[in-house]
Amino acid sequence: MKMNKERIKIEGNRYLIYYTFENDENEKSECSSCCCNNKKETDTKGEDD
Amino acid sequence: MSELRWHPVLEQWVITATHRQDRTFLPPDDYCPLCPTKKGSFPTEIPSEDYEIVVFENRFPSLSHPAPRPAVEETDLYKIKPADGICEVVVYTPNHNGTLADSSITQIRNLIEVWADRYEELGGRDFIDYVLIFENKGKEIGVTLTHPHGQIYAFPFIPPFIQQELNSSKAYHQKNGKCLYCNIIEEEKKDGRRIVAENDLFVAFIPFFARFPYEVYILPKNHKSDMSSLDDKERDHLANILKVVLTKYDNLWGFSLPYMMIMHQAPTDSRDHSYFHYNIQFHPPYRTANKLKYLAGCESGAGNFINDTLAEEKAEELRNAEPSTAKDTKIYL
Repeated sequence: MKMNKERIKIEGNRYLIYYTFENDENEKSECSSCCCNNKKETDTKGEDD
Repeated sequence: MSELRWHPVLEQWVITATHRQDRTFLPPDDYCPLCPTKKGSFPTEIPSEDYEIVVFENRFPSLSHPAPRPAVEETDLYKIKPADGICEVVVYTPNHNGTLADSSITQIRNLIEVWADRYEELGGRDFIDYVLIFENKGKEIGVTLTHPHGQIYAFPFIPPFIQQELNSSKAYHQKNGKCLYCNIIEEEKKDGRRIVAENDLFVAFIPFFARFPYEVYILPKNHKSDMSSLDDKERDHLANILKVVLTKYDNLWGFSLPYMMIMHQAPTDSRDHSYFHYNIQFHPPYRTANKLKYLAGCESGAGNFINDTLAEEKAEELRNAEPSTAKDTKIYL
């Protein structure tokens, strides 16, 4: 994996940093053995009501 | 205006930041300041049509550099210092809807890289003694923006809870020649009932001494003091266990569980804190699917937590939540 940073100035003389990534193909593959993708369909109670 | 006011009774700094009263409060989705700035649309904080992860200085900071002059004069009893420091916002994704739990492991792994980078860069500033990385999620916690994001407070001092944790870790190390958290991991693994998830390099559990019903600690099995000292393999495993714990939280009752996620790392004050063990603590405010755990008189007034639940039972519930780790708590990459 390679991470790149680009820093710019924004309103109020503040900085903002864009982080971009170059991930290897094998890094992009999701968890191979666990069931991370088993997340059930959910409603959005809590944050987006 | 902002400043640090010394609390002579509790012997800790209180940050006053009156300008934060005016901060953006739950804007409509179309006016989210953390979304990308689309052509012809209103300008957000992020002047780009797309991005992966963005960090920027908070528009309404509690701490800033250079700090403004304090609004009042100090006295012998009431000490004042400028609120020097840095407050950043970390935007996890350009997608307005969703949560960290919805992110892929690759996205979480990328975020870990950003967290480590911010810890190193901010901690490297000579006026910063402590870098606190955290996420407040959910209206119940008091979030003012629902777009998936976290925050970083770079303090000119060590915050009181962290100082207490450092003191006890150091004293334990001096007395026993061992790391306190390494022994806590050993004790939790030996008992096993409070383990929520585990992989080769990280373990997640509700500690014996939990203050919140679903309070989860995530720790590296190897003794590491901060995120920047985690190697690539450890960062991969951290992404994995974070995804597992966050997914369990959301599957526990079928809604996106609010929480405070706090990274506890060694201070950056140039002293030796090698005795300290990096950990992530989650404090969800729910005690059942429809009841909140409030910090009431005993907790807020006396600092004494009352947990209405048994950590052993709550950990079992989380183990049983998908992705299920009930049969074997180990989830390998």
